[in-house]
Amino acid sequence: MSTNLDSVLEPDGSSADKLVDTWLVYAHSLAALGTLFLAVIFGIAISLQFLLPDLGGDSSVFTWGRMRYAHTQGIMLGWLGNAFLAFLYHAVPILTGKPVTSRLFGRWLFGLWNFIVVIPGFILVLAGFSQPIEWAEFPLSIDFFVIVGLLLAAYQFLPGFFQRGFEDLYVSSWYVIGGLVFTLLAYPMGNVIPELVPGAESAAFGGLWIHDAVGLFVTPLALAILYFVIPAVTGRPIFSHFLSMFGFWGLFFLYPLNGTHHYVFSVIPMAAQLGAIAASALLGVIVIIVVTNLLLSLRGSGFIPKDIALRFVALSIVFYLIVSVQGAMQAQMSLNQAVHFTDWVVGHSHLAMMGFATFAAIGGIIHAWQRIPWAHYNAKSLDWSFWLLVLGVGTMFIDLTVAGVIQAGLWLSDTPWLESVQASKPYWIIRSISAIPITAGFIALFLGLVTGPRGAGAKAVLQKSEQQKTLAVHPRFKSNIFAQELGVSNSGKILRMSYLAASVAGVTFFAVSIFLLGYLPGRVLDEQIRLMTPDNVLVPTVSEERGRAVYAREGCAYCHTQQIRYTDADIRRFGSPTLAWEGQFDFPHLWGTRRIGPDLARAGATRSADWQLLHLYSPRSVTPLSIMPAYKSLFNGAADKPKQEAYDLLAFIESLGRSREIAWPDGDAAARELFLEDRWARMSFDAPLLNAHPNKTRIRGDFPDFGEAAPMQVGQQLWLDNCAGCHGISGQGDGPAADWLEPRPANLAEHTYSSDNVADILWNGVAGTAMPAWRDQATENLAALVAVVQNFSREEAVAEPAANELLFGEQVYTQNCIQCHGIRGDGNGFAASELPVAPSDFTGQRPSIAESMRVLQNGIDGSSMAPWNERLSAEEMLAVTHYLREFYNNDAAVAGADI
Amino acid sequence: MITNAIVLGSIILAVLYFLTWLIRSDFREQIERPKHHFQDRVKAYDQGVFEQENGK
Repeated sequence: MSTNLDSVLEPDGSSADKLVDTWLVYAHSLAALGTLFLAVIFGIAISLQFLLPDLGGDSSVFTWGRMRYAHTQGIMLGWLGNAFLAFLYHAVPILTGKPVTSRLFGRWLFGLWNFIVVIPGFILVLAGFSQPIEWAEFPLSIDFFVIVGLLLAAYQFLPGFFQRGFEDLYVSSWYVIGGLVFTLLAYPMGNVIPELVPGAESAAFGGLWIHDAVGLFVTPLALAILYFVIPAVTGRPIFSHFLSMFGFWGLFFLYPLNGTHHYVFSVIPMAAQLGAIAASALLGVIVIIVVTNLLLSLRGSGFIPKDIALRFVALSIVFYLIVSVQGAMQAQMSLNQAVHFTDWVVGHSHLAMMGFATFAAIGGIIHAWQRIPWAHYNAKSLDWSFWLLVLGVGTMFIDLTVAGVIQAGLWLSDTPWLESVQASKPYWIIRSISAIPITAGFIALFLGLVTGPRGAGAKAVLQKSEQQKTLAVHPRFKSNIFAQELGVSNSGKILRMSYLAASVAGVTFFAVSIFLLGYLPGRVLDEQIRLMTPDNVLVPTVSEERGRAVYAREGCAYCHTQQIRYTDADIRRFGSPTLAWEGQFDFPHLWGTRRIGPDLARAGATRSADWQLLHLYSPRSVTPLSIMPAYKSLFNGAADKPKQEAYDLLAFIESLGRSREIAWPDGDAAARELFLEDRWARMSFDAPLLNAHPNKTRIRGDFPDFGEAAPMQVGQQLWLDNCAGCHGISGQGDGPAADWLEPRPANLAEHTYSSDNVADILWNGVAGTAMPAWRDQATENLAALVAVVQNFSREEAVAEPAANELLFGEQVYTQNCIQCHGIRGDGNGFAASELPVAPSDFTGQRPSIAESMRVLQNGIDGSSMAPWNERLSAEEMLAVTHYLREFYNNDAAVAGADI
Repeated sequence: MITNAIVLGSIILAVLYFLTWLIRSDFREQIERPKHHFQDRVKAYDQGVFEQENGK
């Protein structure tokens, strides 16, 4: 037997233990599981924060964004990186017939990957050192060591492949070579270039990397496992090596061309977007061919293979088919405009990484583990692991896909944002629950590898091998005989030449993808920026730059996009689509790939500064239904005690959309003349509103007829969900946010409002205060809210004031109040337009006597209403109170403002 | 133009590959060889592991 082994494995007589360094297989497998547990814990924590936003407490370390960074990088580099290395230490020596370059070197690579890349990467992102780039979140300092690690891996694993003719390489070998070489090319492109080019250009490269990380790193190495394990376990060669190579080259030609499909309907030139969409569709076809070949290779293994490694691999193939067809579909514009930014995409990425790649990686690890004679092996535990993971991953995928469809429907129908958040919660609960079987599955996997008798895996394989002896390889295909027979036949030459040509073409194609979908769109965008940028565009201040760094560090872009897409739904909800020049100071871009909160591209000048600070400190005090985590570490213990970082972040938020707003409409009109032929640019220029944010305050006086009101219960619920945070449950201006806002929210119980005045305020908001507009609410709901507000009034009947008192009040009013409040009390005094907060309009609201006296005595902080107690006597204040109350006209169509 | 280049390029390469396979029987034989070679190696390796396990 041993003679046979030596002759087949390697002419120099390497035996099994010399060939494979089982210690490195063992060590990388355990490191993979260790980092997997950390990454999963981060994943569970961030999923729970959707339901318990304050779970991270006041910590600056365990914020949602930072843990999100650690989660994805941990899965890709920690879990899958180590799992792939473990498998390569087993597979490459068998594929090449030679040991890897150096066992000692392998220990250094193990140390580098885990103790210089993964663990420091976790620590650094949690400490706030990171990049806001999807799948590239570890900071640049770590990226350098990742590239060193990839170079070392290439040196460790690749030389053996080049010592034989290309025509002799098995498909797994091709995937290993392709995976290592292309990742080495793509990693710097995706991690470094986005830091060097601005905004949309940065996004173009970032988009390429999002797909390359999966398509050129994860997929090739996962497929290498599938093609390795299936024939190794079944004892039969794969169905067709021709099809497998067809798939290999198809994938490597097309994967690099897919990336721009992450930014469909963006300002990235449409030619590049359409190219990526076409490549995505073709890729779907190629994957179907690959999967067909793999499934045919599994024939005879049963619906549920008995070998546990093969079972994981078989399901990985099914996941690969689903995720790839889904990916090809969601790249198409019709579906993309609906489901992009929703949980559909999150479900898709989890199926790719936790389904396809993870099941392949587990299959590879178990297969290699079974062949470590001294390793523990617990088959029962591994069996449990499989079924638990199927349950967990399957539940999560279905749940998130359905959630994405629900969210898409709500977004397309212009439903208020928070309603889509509320509608998502049941699905987020199920997502969090699905973590239970997933975690249990990983624990069972760990136990399956570290408990049970030593060598039990090898014994199981031995039994299988004995059974397979009957399936002897045809003598014609015994490698050495076959090689001698063929020699340097004509077909061998053709094959060798074609592989060489294809290898060159593959690398060239990667370069072409960078040129077509990165560089070329970049030049077009540069030209757009040059021509469209208005004169004297504002450069970010130092404070705004610092705020941007805080925004990036905390992962804000992972919940809030900063790109208004060229779709009708985005234009209606957010305003004019984002132009390239708007992001010309963004290094790297902050476009984002998911909308858990609304887009912030036009967040500047939409909310008041104190609202923004309070929203950062205590989001639910101003927006009771918000699921945004609190960022209390940016404050010194109170919302009105921001640290410099909070001021910087506020400055950055206020800068979003500012340049376009300042330039508009003249700047847009000038640029439009230069791009008359560009229908996408025109779509941005011709949008009816630059900032369509429903909560942005607008000029008062213009509001629609709300029509028939929704039932009172609807209005009351709306009040609790949207208004009680500031105005309090009973409308007394004493909600949890009230103490932090200037001016304070109005005490509605101490006023009587006309219905028109309330409608005007609800529709347009009150500029200069935290009172937003509520234009995303249905008018029937707003009508119900009007009724709720009017019902808060507790004003009791007051005796008619005497005529002489009214005359006295008129004198006081004329001498002191008409400059702001106007001669008719409608808030249109000659000074009114100069005031940051418009004076009260007494024709639409009547304060109680007590409230009016309080305001006259104390003034209103945060407005121009000063205290009058040192200038007016009590009699004068009472007289003017009686007088101004006479202005109230419940039927008046009111213009003006309120506090 | 980018779309045309991608679609046409992919189709041309695929057709060339398929036609070569269709026309050249030696190519068909040659391209399948690595899977058999791999099968030999992986079987031999497994046997080597069991020999170690059995102390042979």
